[in-house]
Amino acid sequence: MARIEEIALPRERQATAWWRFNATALLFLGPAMALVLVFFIAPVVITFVMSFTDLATSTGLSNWQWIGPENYQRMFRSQFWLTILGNTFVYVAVVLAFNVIVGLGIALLSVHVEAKAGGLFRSLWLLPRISPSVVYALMWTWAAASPPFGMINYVVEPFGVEPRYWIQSDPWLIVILINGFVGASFGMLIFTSAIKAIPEDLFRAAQVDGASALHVIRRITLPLIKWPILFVLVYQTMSLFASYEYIYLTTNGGPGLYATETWSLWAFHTALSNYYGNLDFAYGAAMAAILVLMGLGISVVMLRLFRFGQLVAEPRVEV
Amino acid sequence: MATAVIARAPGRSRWPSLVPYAVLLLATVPILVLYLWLFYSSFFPRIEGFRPVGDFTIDNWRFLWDPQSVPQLRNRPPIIPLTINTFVFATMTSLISLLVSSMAGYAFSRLRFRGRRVFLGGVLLLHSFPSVTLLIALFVVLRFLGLYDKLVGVILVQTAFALPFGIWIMKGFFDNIPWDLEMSALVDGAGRLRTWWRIMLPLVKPGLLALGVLLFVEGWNQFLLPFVFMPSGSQQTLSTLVRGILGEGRFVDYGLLTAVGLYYIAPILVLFVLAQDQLMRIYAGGVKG
Amino acid sequence: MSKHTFAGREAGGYRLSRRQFLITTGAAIAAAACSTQVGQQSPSGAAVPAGTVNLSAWTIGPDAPSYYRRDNLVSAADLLNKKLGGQTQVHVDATFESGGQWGDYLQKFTLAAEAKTSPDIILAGHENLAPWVGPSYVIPLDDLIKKFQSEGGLKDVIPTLWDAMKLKGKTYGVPQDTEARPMYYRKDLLAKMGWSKDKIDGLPDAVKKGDFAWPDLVATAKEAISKGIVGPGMGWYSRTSKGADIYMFYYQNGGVMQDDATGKLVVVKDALQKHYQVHADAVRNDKIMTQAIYGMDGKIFDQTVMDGKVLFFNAGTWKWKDWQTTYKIVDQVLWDNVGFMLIPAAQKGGKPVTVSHPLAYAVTSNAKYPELAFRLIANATTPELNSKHSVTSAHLAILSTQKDDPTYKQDKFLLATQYMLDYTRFIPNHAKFGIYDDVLYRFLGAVEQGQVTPAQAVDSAVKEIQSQVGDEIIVK
Repeated sequence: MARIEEIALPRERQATAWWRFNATALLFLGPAMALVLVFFIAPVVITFVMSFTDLATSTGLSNWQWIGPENYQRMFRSQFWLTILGNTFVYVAVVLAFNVIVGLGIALLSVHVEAKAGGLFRSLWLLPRISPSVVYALMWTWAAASPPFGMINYVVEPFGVEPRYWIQSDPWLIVILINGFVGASFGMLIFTSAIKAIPEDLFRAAQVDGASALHVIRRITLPLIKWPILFVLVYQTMSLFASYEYIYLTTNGGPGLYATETWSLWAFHTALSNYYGNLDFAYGAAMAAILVLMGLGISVVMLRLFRFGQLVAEPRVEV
Repeated sequence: MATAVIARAPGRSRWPSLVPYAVLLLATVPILVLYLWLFYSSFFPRIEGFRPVGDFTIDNWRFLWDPQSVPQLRNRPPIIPLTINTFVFATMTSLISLLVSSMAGYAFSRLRFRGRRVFLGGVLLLHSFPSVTLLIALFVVLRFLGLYDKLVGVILVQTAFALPFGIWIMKGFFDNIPWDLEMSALVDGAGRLRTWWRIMLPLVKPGLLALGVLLFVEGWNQFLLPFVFMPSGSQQTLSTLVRGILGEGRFVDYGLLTAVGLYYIAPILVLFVLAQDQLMRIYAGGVKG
Repeated sequence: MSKHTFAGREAGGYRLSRRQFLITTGAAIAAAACSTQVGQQSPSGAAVPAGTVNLSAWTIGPDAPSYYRRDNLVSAADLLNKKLGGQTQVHVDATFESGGQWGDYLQKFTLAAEAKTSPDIILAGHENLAPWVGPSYVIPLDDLIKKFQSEGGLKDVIPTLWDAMKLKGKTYGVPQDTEARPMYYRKDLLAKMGWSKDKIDGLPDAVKKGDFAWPDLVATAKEAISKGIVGPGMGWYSRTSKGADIYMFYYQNGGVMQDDATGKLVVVKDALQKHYQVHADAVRNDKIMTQAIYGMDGKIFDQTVMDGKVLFFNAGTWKWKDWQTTYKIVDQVLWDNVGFMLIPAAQKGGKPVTVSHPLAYAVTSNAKYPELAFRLIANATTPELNSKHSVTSAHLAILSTQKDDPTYKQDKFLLATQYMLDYTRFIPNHAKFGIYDDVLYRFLGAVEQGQVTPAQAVDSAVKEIQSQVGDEIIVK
C-alpha cells in the first residue's frame, strides 16, 4: 500500500506536480462539480433564501417579498411540529432497522442456499424496488383495505385477529412494511455483492477448521462487510429523512392529526400538494431548510461516529 | 465463487439445509402474495380479497391493441411512444451519470488535490439534501436556464441526483484496481484522461454495468421529475401515464392499472433477471475499505 | 409587517467574496428569476387579428364521462368562426390534463403559468381561481362579459353561479358546470324496514320541508342496524376523502365560511363543534357509520353502496352516471332502489342544505388574444353544448334556458335534482382556504378516530388555523 504521489512522481517535482494534480482533478471533477453546483447547491441556497419570503400560489414565484423569519415562527407556532418531528425520528429509526436487518438477513440466507435459489429470492426482493411506486403502493392499499376486502384480513382472520382497515387502525405498521420491503433490497444488494467479493480462501480455511455456518458468519463474513454495513446505514438514514413518497401514497400522513406525517411529507404537503391548490412555497422551503439542516447534522454525527474519515482517507492503492 | 463455497460449508450438517430456505420463503411470502395479486387482477374484472369476481378476461390489456377504447387513454400519446420516451430518458440519464460519476470516482480514488477529503465527504452529504422538497427551487433554476419543460433539463437533474451514489460506488471500484496497471500506462507517457479512458474504464466494466443497471431502473421508474419539469404531453413517460390512470380515485379502473403496471415493470424485470450477476458486484469495491 | 422587494435590494445586499461565492450564485439565480415579473395582461395586437389564431385550453381529465368540458370548446370554435365571418379563423387545441387529479392539475398549471407556457384557457374549480388572481395567472372578465353579453348563452347563466366566480368584486371565470351533493338512500332497504312506498318516495319532500331532520335520519339508520337490515356501521357513509361535501354538515349547523364584507375566512365555533359532533356521534356513539370511512378507498365505497349494503350515503350528482357506466347498473334498477334528497336540516323545521362546486373556464394572462379566448368560452356556454355535458355526466344546468333544451328535458335525474341548487352553498374563494380546509379536515379525522373530542377539536383547530393564516380568519 503506498500513496499515489510517492509512486507516480519524484519528490523534486512535487511543487509543479501539485498544480498539475489540481488541474487534472478539475478536469475529472468538472462535470460532477458543475452538476452539483447547479442542481444541488443552488437549489439549497435558493430554498434558504426563499424561506424568508412569502412566496405562495397567491403571490406567484416571481414576486419575492422579504418577511424575515416569519415562516420559521409560523412552523413552530403549529401545535404539531413536535409530533411531526417525533414521527420523523420514529420512522427513520424503525424503517432503518428493518431495512438493514432484513437486508442483511436476506443477503446472508440467499448466499447460503443454492446459487439459483438464492438468485431467485434476491430477484423477488428486488421487485418492490423496480416497481413504479404508485403500483407498489396500490398493492399495499388493497392488501390493507377495509373489511370485507383486504388480503391481510383474509390472512389473519383464521388466527383470530379481527378484520380491520389496517391503514387506519395500524398506520405505522403499514408505513413500516411498505417502506421496509422496498428499502431492504438496497442493503441486500450491497451486502450480497460484498459477501461475494470476500476471497474464497477465507471460507476454505474456516471449512478446514470445521467451523459452523453461524460461526463463519460471525467470525468472517460480518467483520469483512463492516464498511458496506456502515455505508448502508448512513446512506439509508439520509434517504429516509428525505423520503415521503410511500407514506403519501398510503396513509398520507393520517389518520387524523398528523399520526404518520413526517417532516419531509409536511414540507411536500405544504409546498407542492394542497387539495385546493393553495401552495405555500416559502413556508415549505422553510420546512425543507430545517430538513436539510437535520439531515446534515445527523450525517455528520454518523460519519464521525463510524469514523468515516477512514473512508475518505488519502488515495491509496491496494496491491 | 464465494457463494458456492458457502453453500458447501461444513456447517450444513449442523444447520439443516432446509432452514434457510424456510426462513427465506416465509419472509418472501408478502412479496409473493402482492405480486401474484397484481398479476391475476390484471386478468379479471375485479378482485375481492383473493377472490376474483367475474370471468377470466384479457380486456384489461386492450390498451396494447385498442387504446382508443380505453377512456382513460383518450387524448394521451399511444403507449409505444411513451415507452420509447421512458427508454430514452432512462438510457440518457444512466449513460451521463455513468460518465460523470466514473470521472469523479476516478479523481477521488487516484488523484490527490486540495479539498479532496472535504469534497468526498460532501458528496455523501449531498444525499441528505431532500431533493423532493427542493423541487420549487429546482424549478426556479430550470426556468432561469431555460430548461423547464425540456427533456435535457430533466435528464440533467436526474443525473445530478444520481451522483452521490454513483461517485461513491465508482470510487470503490477504482480503489480495487491494482496501481501497476495504470502506472505502466502513465510511464509510457499517456495522459491521465487517456489512461482513464483506455486502461481504467475497461477494468471497472463490472462496476459500470452494475451501476448502469441500477441507474437505468431509477430513470425508468422516475416519476416526479418528468412529471413536474416536463409536463408536455409528447414527452410524457410511462410513470406519468400510470399516475394519470390512477385518476382521483373515483373513476379508477384497477384492472387497467394493474395491466399497465405489469407492462411497465416487465422490461425492468427482464433486465434484472439477465443482469443479476452483474448487479451482485455493485459493491465489490468497498469491501476492503 | 414591513416588506421589501427582494429584487431591488439584491445587488447591493451581498458582497462578493470567495467564501460567499455559492451564496451569491444562488442569489443571482434567484434575483434573475425575480426580474422575470409576471406581466399584466398582454397588451399586444388587435382584439381580432386576421388569419388563423391558435387558442390552447386545458381541462382536467379525461375523467370520463365529463369529456364535454373539453369537447365543447372544440365545438364552440365552429360557432365562433361563423361569427367572425372568415376574416379570422380560430383553431382550438384543447387537451385533457392530469388524468383527473386536481392536485396535480393545479400544480401543473401554476408552474406553467410561471414559465409562461400556460394555455389561453384553463378550466378550474371556482375556488381555485382565487389564489391565481394575486400573481395574475388569470384575468378579470367583467369588461368582456359586458361587451359580449349577448354572445353564446352568457346572459342566461344562473346568477348565483356568477357569485361563485367573484373575488373582491371582480369576475374571473365563466361557469362551466355545477352539481349538487345529495344524500342518497336505498329505497329497497327502507321498504324492508316496513316503510310504505309513499313514505319512501315522499322522503325528499319531507326533507325539503324540514319534517325529516338529521335526528330522524340517525334514528332510521340505528333502527336499520338493530333490525339487521344493514350491517353495523353501515347506516350512513359520508364522503371518504377531502372535498367540499364535508362542509355540508358545517353549513347544516349554521356555519359560515367567508365574511361578505371583508372576504376573510370565517369559522363559527358553535357550528364547527356541531359538525364534528355529527361525525363523532355517527362513528363513536350511535355507531351508524364505520370508523373505516375516513380514507376508505373510493372503489370500495362505490362497490359497497352499489351492492345495497348501506342505507344512507353521500355522493355527488355525477356519481349517478358513474355508477351506471363503471358498475354497469341499469338506469331503471338505480331508480328502483336508490333515492336522493338534500342533507336534512339539523333540527325539525330547519332548512336542508347541499354544497355545489361549480367549475369555470378562465382566461389566462398568457392569452395573446384574450378577447377571442373569452368569445370561445362564451360560445361553449350554450344550452345545446352544455346540456350534452350535463346529460352525459349528470352535472346540473348552468343556464336558465337549459330546462327547455330538448336533451336536458329528457333527463329525469337532472330535472329531479335541479331544485337542490336553491338550497346550495359554496366553499369560499380565498387564497388560503386550502390551509383552513387542511386543518379542519385533519381534526374531522381525529374526531372520528376518537383522538380528540369535538370540543377539544374545535379549540385546537381554531388555534391552529389562527396560527397558520394569521389575520385572514375571523372566529365567531
